Amino acid sequence: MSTTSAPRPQAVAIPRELFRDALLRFGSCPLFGNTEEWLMEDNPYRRPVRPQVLRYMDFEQVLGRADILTYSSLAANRLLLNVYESDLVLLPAHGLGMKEDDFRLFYAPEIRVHAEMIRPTLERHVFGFLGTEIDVSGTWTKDALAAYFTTLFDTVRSSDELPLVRALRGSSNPRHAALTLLIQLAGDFLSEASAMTRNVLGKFDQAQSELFKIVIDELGYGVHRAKHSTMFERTMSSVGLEPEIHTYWQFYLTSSLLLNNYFHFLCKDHAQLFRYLGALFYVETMFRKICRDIGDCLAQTFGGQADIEYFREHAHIDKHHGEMVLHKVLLPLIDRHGTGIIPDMVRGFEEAKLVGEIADEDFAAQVAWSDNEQAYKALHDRVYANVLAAGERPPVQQFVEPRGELSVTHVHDGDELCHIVSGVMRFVTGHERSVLLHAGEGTVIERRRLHGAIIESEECVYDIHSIGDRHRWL
Amino acid sequence: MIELDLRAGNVFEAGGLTYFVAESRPGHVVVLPDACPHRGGPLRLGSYDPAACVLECPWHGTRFPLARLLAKALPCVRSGHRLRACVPADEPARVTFRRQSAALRALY
Repeated sequence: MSTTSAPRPQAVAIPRELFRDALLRFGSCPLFGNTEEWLMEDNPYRRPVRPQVLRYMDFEQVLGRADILTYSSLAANRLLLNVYESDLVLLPAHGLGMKEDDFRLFYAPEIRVHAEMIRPTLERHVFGFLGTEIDVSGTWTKDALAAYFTTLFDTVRSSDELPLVRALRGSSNPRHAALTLLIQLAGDFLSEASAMTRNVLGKFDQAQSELFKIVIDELGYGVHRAKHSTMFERTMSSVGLEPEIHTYWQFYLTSSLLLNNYFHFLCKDHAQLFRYLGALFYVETMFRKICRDIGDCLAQTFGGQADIEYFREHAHIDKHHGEMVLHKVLLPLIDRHGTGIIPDMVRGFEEAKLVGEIADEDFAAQVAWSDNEQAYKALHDRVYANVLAAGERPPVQQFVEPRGELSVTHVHDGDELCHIVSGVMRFVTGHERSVLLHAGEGTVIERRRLHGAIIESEECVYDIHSIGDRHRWL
Repeated sequence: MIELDLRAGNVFEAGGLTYFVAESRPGHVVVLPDACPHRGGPLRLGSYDPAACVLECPWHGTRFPLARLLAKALPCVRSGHRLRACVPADEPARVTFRRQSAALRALY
């Protein structure tokens, strides 16, 4: 019989001052500095993290569910993906060339030491909420686990359209929405199964061999064109997107990074093996429906242009993978190690579901934000007039920037009003999605929505008013 | 398997038995059979001594270590306010759900 999974024995914490020091040193790596380009073209090592704000962040607090899309989470997730992926072999598709120094720096032992020193605190910051949101208790048996999975699958099978698909179909610009989705998926799919491979080394008998079969399926059995990430490259290329990893780094939403990092987080720590396997089971079983629906949406949006083999393949093979994970991995592991490992499996299953739901909500909100960029621009006049007329005005900061100055994408924790005093700014709400703002114009920036900007005049002076809640100023 | 919204209540009946949802430690919920192992008294109405981790039945004052009760806890998983609990397979899934004060500090 099993009850709640035992809490982990307390390890010696990394002292605060050591964490802060390592954070600033890691963030100061030139590879993670600001950039003047929107796309990181064929350079998997350049990943801006806006290092100038790291010293003001409080990563030692655990973010709650309600705060998981704040700037602090975006910053921590960008850092974490850089930490995790320094374990992976990444090479530019078109050769190292001038990027050899970047290549060596990305894997430099000194950088990786700092990465490991900041990892536990950042993980607690962004994944700590799962411990509060998900709770597993009681006496779990294999029968109870089977009943639980059956109920969940029945619920999914009978569920309506997925929120993600609803967002795609409901967008006023379905083509852009579909590209945005592919960009979100690219962060993970272009290095697919990399997190999983962390768990195939070692020695854990038959389950290890079964897990390995799933890994080699993902990797195409060594046939490069059948490798799932290669299929996804073809999908990207077919709709005009760059197929190199992290080209669209700046356009990853907080939740997309969170979802990608979640699997690295579990797989990096082998004490989380059973939790990971529960999460894997969720993905392998639920991904079928998701892939089928996304494939249909892409075909509908792009016609014959979109290569959707990736999604068709997953809609097929994940049926087998789901059964393999359950019957060849989860259940045999319970037989061997006892029902005490079940709560971790259930936890992983529920966590993967929750993180997926957060990603769906975030994606839908971002699509709506981009779709309404003109409406937010139109809001400026009224909000600005009310701000000027207010007895107590919100805090304001003025910026003076030269032509070409690029503000790396970010989010704000409250609504903001951007007002252009002089010059011209291109305000960016997504890849190839922007509005031009001239002197006297501006836009309302919705909280937690990813955006950036670039200056398109010799100089631009603009004010950012921290209005908190835009509805108060309408 | 039954699904409950913990904001709506913390006591339910399934298959003729009563269960209650309680917080055994901060943030950690358990689903326990309501019937006292002694004479069937309503444990949900008992008093809990957190220092000793002992629950006292309101009928005869019988005291049970929480650990003993937890051995009979239903398998369950909470995600936010939603709780899924596995009731024994031979019990009907019909559930009557109501709010009632629990012996252990109620979460919701």
